[in-house]
This record gives sequence, C-alpha cells and structure tokens, in this order.
Amino acid sequence: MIASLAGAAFAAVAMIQVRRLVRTEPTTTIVVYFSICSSVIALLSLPFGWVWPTPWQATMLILAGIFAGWGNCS
Amino acid sequence: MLLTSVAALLQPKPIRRHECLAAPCARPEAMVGIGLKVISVTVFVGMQTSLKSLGTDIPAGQLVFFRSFFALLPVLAYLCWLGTLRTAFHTRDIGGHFVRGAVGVTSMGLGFYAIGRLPYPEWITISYASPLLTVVFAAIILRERVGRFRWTAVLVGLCGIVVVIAPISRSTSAHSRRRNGWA
Repeated sequence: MIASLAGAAFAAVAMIQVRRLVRTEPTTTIVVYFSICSSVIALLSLPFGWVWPTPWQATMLILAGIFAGWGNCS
Repeated sequence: MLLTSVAALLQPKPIRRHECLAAPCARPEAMVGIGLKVISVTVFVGMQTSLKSLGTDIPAGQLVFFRSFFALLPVLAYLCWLGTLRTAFHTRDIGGHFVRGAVGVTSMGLGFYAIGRLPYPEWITISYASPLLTVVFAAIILRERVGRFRWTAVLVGLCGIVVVIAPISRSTSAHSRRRNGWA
C-alpha cells in the first residue's frame, strides 16, 4: 500500500517533468525516450531475482507491454 | 453505417467561434479525441489486468522491463506509419528525458510491486492520488496558479483516498503495528 502511494507520488513528479519537457520536445520523442530509458534501467534489475517466465507468464508480460505502447499511441 | 459516421466525424468542418464556446463536445476533433482517450484507457486496463494476473511471481523490475521494452513495438510501428521515425529520436534535452525516465521507472516499479499485492479496486483508487498530487507539485515546483476551488477539490480527493487506505492499513498492518508498539 505504501508502495502504491509512493508510486502515485512519483507518477505525479514524472508528470511535472513531462510538462517541462513538452515545452521543447514533441510527445512522440518523450514516449520513445521514456520506453528506452526505463527498459535500460529495469534491465539493471536482472541480477535481482528475475525468473524465467512460463509461456503463459511470458505471453502476459509481452501483452502488457504491447497494450501499454498501444495505449500511449491512442 | 458506423464507418460513414466515423468518416463524417473525421471530416473537418468549419466552426464559428461562438459555436465552439457554446458546445465544445460537438466539435468533430473533440469526438475523435474522446474516442482515442477511451481506447487508451481501455487498453491500459488491459495492461494492468495482464500484470495483475501474474500476481507476485515475477519481480517488479522484470515487469517494468517487459512493459517498457515491448511498448516500443507499437510505438515504433505507429511512428513508421506516421513517417516520423527519424525525427522522433531528435532531442535537445537528453538530460530531461533521463530525469523523466528515472522518476517514471521508480513510479512504475512501485506501482507494479503493489498491483500484485493489493486488490485491484484499492490499487486503482490509490493511483488516483497521482493527478491530485500533480496539482500540488505543479503549484510548488512549476509555480502554477491553483485557485481556491481546485485546492478544495484536491483536498476532497485526498480525503477520499484516505478513506480507502484506512481500512486496508487496519486489516493488514494492525498486527505489525501492535508488534512494533505503535498502536
């Protein structure tokens, strides 16, 4: 619950940063760089308990990503 | 029938200024915008459902990676379709993007950690704190002016979130608080 609340607070800070960025950067650039940046940062957590997903889990993970990207486009 | 009405919506129609002010929702671009926003929200719920179905078996970092990496596929496909793939990588503020990335990844990691552990309605209600806190931070960090009514609305919203949080914290942590001598 604390994680969820802290997540919401960080999301709010992220929105402020996006608001600063849109003054000079197009939206698509923000989306592309965010996806690249967070992929790289999240990849750093690889040694900390990543698990080999079952085919079902892998499908859900990939679907989550595709849905998120699609949501950003629309 | 449906296609013709969608095509009619997409047709730009000259609008007189006073018409715009009187009925903003009747503008065709507004209808397309609303439609896209509804699709966006639906698809994001699809994403959250996928993540929720995984429970706590997969660490949050791995969830964030898959969510971000595979999100690039539709985004890049869309940019190809628009023909703006090359210009999308052009930036004047790489540091700003990095800050946004670091803050965003922290937020996403915490949110994904929580989604497997909280009931979905509670999780989504707590995430509603985000737009409210955005108003607070916009006032503090960006020095944007926030009126009295909006401050009241933010306060009411935050009270609502406290109402949701209070029963969970009682049921899940009363034991640990008692053990720690807080209650």
